Amino acid sequence: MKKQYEDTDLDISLKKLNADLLWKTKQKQELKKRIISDIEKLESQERNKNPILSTSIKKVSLIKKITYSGIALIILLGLFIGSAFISPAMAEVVSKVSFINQIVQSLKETDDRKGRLDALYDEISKKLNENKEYEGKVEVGMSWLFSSEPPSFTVWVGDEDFKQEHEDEIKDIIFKCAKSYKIDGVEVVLEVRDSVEPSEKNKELEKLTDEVITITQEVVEEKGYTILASGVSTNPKKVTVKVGIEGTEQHYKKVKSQIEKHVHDVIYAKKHEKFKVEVKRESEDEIKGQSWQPIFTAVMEETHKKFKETNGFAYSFHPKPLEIILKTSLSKGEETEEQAERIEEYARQVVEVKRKELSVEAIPYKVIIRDKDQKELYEELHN
Amino acid sequence: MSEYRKLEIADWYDQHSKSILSFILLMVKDYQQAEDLTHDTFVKAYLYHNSFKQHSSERTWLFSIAHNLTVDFLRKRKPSRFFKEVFLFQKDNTSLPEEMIRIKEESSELYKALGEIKDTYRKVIVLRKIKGFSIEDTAKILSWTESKVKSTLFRAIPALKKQLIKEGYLDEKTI
Repeated sequence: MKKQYEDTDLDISLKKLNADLLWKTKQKQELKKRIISDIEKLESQERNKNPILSTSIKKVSLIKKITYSGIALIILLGLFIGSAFISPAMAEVVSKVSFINQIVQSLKETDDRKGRLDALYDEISKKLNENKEYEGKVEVGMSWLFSSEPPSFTVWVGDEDFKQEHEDEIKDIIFKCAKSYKIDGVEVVLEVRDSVEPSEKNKELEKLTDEVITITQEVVEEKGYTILASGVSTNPKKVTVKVGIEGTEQHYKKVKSQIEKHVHDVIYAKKHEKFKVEVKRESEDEIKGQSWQPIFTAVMEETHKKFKETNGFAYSFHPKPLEIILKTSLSKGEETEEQAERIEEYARQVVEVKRKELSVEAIPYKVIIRDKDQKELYEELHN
Repeated sequence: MSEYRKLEIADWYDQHSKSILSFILLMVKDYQQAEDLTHDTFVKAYLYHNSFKQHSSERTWLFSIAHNLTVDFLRKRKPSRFFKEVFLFQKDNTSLPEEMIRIKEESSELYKALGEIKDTYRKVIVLRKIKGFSIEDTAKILSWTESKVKSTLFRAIPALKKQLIKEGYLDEKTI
């Protein structure tokens, strides 16, 4: 007969289970004697001599003895008969590498594939540039969101006639190259480039921008610093540079104002233009972001490789802790929450493997799994 | 000093051994293994007695030792279980040697259903609902965050109910 369990009934039944397990007093006392006797044996031994090994003084039941002897016999028989008769599943279990080793192996495979993709792109560019007919008329780009997915190639050509005439030929070159690099499923699209001639004014502005960047670079390097990023706008006239300045805030402020004034003065002296100059340095989060970047890439690549539902990635250092966000195509539900938990666990393992490999300092972080509507499905904080 | 330690372990054994044995039994589903792991728990508690800093109760500390030993055991057992299942056929792990331990009829369905749900669900239900540990202590024992304890328990209870329905012990209409 079926019982009617309410939530409180289940709670009561669970509590009752504790009392309903009846351990025979004799058994309990025998175990106590065994423990005390083993403790006394340990006391009489040298304290530091393999204390853990000494704890394995146990009774082994007859059933277990038979089981283990049976297993040993079967293995021996298996060895005699020959490996061909061993089931593939058993071989799989025997050769099963640990979870961590699987991730390390997968990371290596991803690096190998990325290397092949880069080499493939270089090879295709070279092949297209070598062809006299294509000279100056063809440009190729390769794109992929996840390296484990097939890449797509876009070839920009000068005009429609050229496209009609050479489309099959160009596609054939790319497909053959991809095959030789063992990259399957590539897509190739040919597009006609819109060639709009820039106006005289735009040409002049472009020239001025190039010159301002060159002047800025020369001045900053003269002072012994490196430009990490730069931007020039002509309306309003402004130069923004990110410079690698280490040291205290006070030192940074001093160097910043010196460079800003010097760059401004040199641009004015050479071009007779007054540009506002702003020098910045990398924030703490940006520096952290750089060291974590390969970890983020690994998490994004590896989770997608293992779980096809994972289709997007984001991170945020502010507010603390660091948030690693994995976007998925999952929809809410008990089953998907379990899957989200598995994705989270895998992502965490990838973070730890990659972080240790790169010796990146450990910081608290949270892995968040989002559903297809960008709502949080599961999260876990790791300190 | 070691005499005092031994007496304290004996005292702890009298108070907590049954609770620890039943926790391990629910996890490993094998009485003999549960007894061996209970043995190891108290011997280990004796060996590492100095590291017990009393940040938690001795019960929580003993359970965390028992949990760690059980997890290690389950991890090592996985390949040998495969051999047993393939060559010796699957045995009914839920049956208990009645001369050593038995379970009252009223609770046997629940005991069986608990044995069928996944390990993480089982241990959080056992610690929170059967052993009555607080969320904080459960988190300490399992080395989880408190939020993980809450979220896992939140999923574990429906999984247990589902198992009870599957085995025909729980009426679906009541869910």
